[in-house]
Amino acid sequence: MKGLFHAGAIDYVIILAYFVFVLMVGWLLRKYTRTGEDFFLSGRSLPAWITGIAFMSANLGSQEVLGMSAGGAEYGMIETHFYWIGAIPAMIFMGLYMMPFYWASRARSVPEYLKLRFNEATRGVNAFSFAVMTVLVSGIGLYSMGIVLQALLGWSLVVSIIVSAVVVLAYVFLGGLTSSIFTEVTQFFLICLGILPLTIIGLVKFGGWHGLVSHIPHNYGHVWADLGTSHNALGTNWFAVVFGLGFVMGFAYWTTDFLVVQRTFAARSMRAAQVTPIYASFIKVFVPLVDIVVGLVALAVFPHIGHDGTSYNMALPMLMAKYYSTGMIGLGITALLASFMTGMAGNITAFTTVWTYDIYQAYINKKASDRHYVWMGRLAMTVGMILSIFTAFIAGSFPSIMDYMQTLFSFFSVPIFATFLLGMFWKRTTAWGGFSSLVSGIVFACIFYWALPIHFATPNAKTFWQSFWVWVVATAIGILVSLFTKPKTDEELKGIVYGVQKYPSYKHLRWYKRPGYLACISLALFVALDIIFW
Amino acid sequence: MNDSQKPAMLDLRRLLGILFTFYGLLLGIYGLVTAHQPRSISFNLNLWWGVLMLIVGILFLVFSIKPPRTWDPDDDEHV
Repeated sequence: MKGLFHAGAIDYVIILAYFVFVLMVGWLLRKYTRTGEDFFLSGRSLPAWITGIAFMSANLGSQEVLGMSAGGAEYGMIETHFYWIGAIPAMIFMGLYMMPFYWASRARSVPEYLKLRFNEATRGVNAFSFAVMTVLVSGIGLYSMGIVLQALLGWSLVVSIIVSAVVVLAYVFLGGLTSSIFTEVTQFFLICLGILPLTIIGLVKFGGWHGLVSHIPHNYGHVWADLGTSHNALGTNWFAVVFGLGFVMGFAYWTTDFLVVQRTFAARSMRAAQVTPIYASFIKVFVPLVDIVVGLVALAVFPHIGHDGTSYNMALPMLMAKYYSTGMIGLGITALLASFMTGMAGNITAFTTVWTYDIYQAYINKKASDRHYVWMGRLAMTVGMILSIFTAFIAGSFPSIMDYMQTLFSFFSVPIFATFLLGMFWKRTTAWGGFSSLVSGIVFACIFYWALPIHFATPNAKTFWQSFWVWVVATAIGILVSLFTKPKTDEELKGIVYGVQKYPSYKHLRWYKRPGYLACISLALFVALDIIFW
Repeated sequence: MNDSQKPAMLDLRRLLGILFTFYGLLLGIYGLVTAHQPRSISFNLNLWWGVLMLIVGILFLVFSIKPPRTWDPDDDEHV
């Protein structure tokens, strides 16, 4: 079978070098990976620049890069909301206001924090739903990687799925979370180096930003301009974007999804953990340069994309095929391959931690040795990877993978966020109040999705509104149940809840080390960009 | 395990330095030798981007000369 690219020997050398590199990283890390803390938490020893890049990069998979460049070509700059309002405020809030409680609780996972704050049942619901969801997402990632490699290079679907799964398994098996984090950081630099030439070529060719915008439909250069009404690509107005996407979905993902939160737990101190999401926010605002803006360039170069038999999803690959020759093609493919593989690695390590600490240790074998849990973690990785491969072949039956993932995410993640917000910032929230908000949120999400006869213009609009209302319902139920049940004592909540624990002070440090100052700079940058590209 | 026996963490900066120096050299030399490019652009992208990657790689190697600290002295005074 023939693909879009004609890869030469040099391209294969570049791809192969990446495989060798990640396996070498895993091999070198194995001797730093002895205890459970090493394997599951990177020994809580990493500096903030590493955890910060990984925090952002764990989410920057290839589906994201390909999907968002397609979104840029189809809808324009309005897609940037997923990176700006949908992430930056959440990351800043996480760093300043939530991280101190996460860190001080010494929890090893998000479900474990729920256990400390609420009860075993709350942890159980979260742990099981997270474990199932993570394996599904990992499988979807594998499948879409197979599809992309088939379209671009003509590789066999089955072979590319199996080979990449085995390589990923090999390096996370050896180095645990550290392997995953190191390759995420590598992936971030590869994505920049592999895709930025397209952005630069596009901007130079069309004469800068204004030149580029003059080659595409007028409103494609704006972020907020069309949000006064619902007549825009997102199919909804500013309220749903600010509160549904920005407040609820963004906060839910960046503050409670264990895939990203696990990166902060690997940081070497509370301050490093606090600045992790704030560093990440500085990078996150510029991510549109390697996907959404690339989509705009694709639209300017191929004005009929999406209408002449080509797919928007091919926006990025079509530009690569046009401007890259043998050599750069290899680098571009490696960037995409790397981000597929790290996405998988991240999911598998997060799954393994939750399985081992929150399911196996909590319900199956409470008092085993540390060595036994590390062994169990490696076993869980292998089984999780096999399950992912099966899921990959099932995933083929869903038409739009991104929408499917968003749907899944809003069912589980939003209720947890409601529970967290109540639990961390209102110490009156009781164990069963937390549990009921979590469960009622999941149930209401299902009702909203399947049973309510409301029509929405786009799947995005539905997800935004659903997230918002799920949060409202879960919060209301949580408050109501808390008022009728017995609260925990201050002694039990020491260190993990606002009002019992004080925030740490960094007054003695220089400004660039203080989370508060860094957060202000990030916020100012976010506001400035929104105004410039309004 | 005793903490004092534990080796300092592997330096990611050095690993990145090795990877990007290798990629930079490979791509740059390939660009120099073959000098073929798609008709749609008028310069040798492989060569120039290879040089840029080489610079990135060398910068990482330079940063990694100083061994990584395993803890930050600023973080110990309060909690």
